Amino acid sequence: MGSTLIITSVEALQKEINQLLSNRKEEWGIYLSLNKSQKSAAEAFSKAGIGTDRLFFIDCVATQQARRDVLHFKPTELEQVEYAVKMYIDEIPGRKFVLVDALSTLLIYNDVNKVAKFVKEVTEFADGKDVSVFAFTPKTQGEELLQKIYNFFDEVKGKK
Amino acid sequence: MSKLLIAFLIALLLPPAMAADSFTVNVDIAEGYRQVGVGETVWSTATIFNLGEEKRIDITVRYDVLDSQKNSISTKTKTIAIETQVSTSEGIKLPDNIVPGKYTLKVTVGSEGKAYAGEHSFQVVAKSGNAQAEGVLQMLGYAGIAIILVAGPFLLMPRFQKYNERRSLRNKIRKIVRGRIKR
Repeated sequence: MGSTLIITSVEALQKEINQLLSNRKEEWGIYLSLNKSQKSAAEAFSKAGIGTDRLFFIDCVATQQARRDVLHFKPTELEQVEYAVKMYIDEIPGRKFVLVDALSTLLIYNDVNKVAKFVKEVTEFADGKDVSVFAFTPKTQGEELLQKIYNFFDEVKGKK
Repeated sequence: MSKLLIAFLIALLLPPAMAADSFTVNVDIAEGYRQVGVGETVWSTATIFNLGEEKRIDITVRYDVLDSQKNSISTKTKTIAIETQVSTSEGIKLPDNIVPGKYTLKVTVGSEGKAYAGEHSFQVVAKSGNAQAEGVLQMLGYAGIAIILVAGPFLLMPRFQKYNERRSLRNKIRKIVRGRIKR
């Protein structure tokens, strides 16, 4: 358990996410999709042979609801997103994890401090419930944010 | 001749009522009004008897609030008509800075030279000051309640909306989770 910040190149981002999901296919996952729609993400996973039956999507890209089991929020609605993540953590039984793809995208729409607060709230809540959090973010993006959120994670991978 | 002229002039100058009439003045302050608050009005009824000639005349009635040193601290006058007897009610407002204590309401009929008076004592209490403050506070309270009633829904609406949104989201998530886990 614990929280991990994974800093990786844009090119390797999808590969690393796929790898993580493959390793955790027995667990329930809460997938916070910030830089691609649920549909695009599901297609990418399908190509990689990863099933999405155990993933609960929170889509902050597509505004139109295509599936009834996918939550849609604007990327500025951080309070709502945070609440939804917490509710999923509470409602899903058994082992589960939260995956954020990709954190730095939130900086396009929100103030860096607001994003840092969001990260803090989610990681602390998940830690209290013994739920793992994996936050991906591309290298070279959001350096100021990264400086502010390093301490909220138990582990940081890919830090220079 | 000059004496006659002087007597005629005196007769002209003296008010006829005063020259010919004499009065008895009874003053009463109703029991419920014998304690008056600072700045409030003391109400009294003066019953005036004309013991002189039986004719209708106009008289001036003067009201004085006297302190314990017999200094007049509040005055009021009015003119009324009297034939044999008249009762008149009048209110006299006490100063806002009057010191609480015992006072006398004196009602005088006539002129300085020949005056007929009656009086009645009453008590000034500081209570009315508090009552005034209480009145002001009460009014402020009512105003506050009115503001809350008018503005409250507008202030609570965003919280209520947020609560509703979250409740709806929670229900939706429960439904999604239960639907998925059943499969």
